[in-house]
Amino acid sequence: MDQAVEALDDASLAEGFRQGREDHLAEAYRRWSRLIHTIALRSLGNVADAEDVTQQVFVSAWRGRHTYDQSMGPLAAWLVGIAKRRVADRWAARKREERASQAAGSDSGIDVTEIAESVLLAEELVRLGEPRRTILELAFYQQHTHLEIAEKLNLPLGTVKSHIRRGLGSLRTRLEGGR
Amino acid sequence: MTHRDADRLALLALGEPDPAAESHLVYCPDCTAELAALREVVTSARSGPRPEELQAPPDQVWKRISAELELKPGRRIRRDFLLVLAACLVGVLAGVGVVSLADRPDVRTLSRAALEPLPGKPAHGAAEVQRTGSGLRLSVTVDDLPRVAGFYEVWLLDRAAGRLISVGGLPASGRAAFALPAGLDLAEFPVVDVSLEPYDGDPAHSKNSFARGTLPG
Repeated sequence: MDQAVEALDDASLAEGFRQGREDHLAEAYRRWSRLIHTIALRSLGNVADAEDVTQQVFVSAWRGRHTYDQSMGPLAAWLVGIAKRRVADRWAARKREERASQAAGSDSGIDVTEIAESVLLAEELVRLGEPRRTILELAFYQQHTHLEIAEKLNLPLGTVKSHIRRGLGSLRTRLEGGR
Repeated sequence: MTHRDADRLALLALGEPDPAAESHLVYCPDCTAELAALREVVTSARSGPRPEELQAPPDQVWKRISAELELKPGRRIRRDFLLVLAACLVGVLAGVGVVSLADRPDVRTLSRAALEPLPGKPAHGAAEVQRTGSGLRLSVTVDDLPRVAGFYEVWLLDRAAGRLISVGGLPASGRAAFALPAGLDLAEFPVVDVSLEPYDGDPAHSKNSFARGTLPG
């Protein structure tokens, strides 16, 4: 039965989650806790706060699961929305603590939406098959040109260009789907 | 827009120069908008974590969630499920050689083998040899181990299944990672074996194996 949950597509998992099936909650956590934790960590800068936010997100999501429906978008995007609010709460709490202790806290004015989207893109890259994932990683992080990628991976130029076009397109669709 | 044009826009978004395409943009608001959208994706990806920098929370976070929500016990989280699923669907992955599916920063998977059930046994899983900051380790995931008297033990056997090295005990979850001793030659002992051992104080292999697989290389 556990294996069946793990093989579910995101929409089916979301439906079972909404209906209150605990094994679907566990699978949603397994699938997306890293996304939520990394967003919180990159937004708040420390592991303890990130762990707290992660816990709060999944607890709130479960308790409020009846408020989610598929017309709002993917479950992962809904979880990210909850994470943004929890991060904002933690951030506000920090500011109050700073004022109380009269420390000159720096206001970096972080944009959690930007952070969330960048983490979501990394998670989407993990889900891509090969060679598309490696092609995009070389293009994004190593700044390789499509010629250099074709040489390095010993693939035809046309294949590399096609993977870049389709890969970028699908990543863009994912981002826009969550907005 | 043709695929060729879309290809060029994607490359422009990545920052590859293309003067002819760029001069076209001056006259084409559609392409300009398209390029802007693609550039957002590239900028966002480049300013974010790399896949290997993604950080999962430690196990205690799930325990706290489970406690706070009073979930039924036994609702476990399985990491590495992709390995178990892939191993079950694809069968023995011998000959794959170096594979890097690990997505934690300091762990690199060197090789992987499916653990097939012995006849009449329900258990199945996978074993991975990983390089960590402190050396090699054997990560074992086995499912459907029956809960019976005794304990499960992981061994490394030679190809003739004559000599064996005990790696350690496997908890009821079926998941464990064992640091491998520095002098151990995995080429000499490539067979991963999971057995059920009675609590009789005899360190020898019980001859009651449940799952087995051979590491490639």
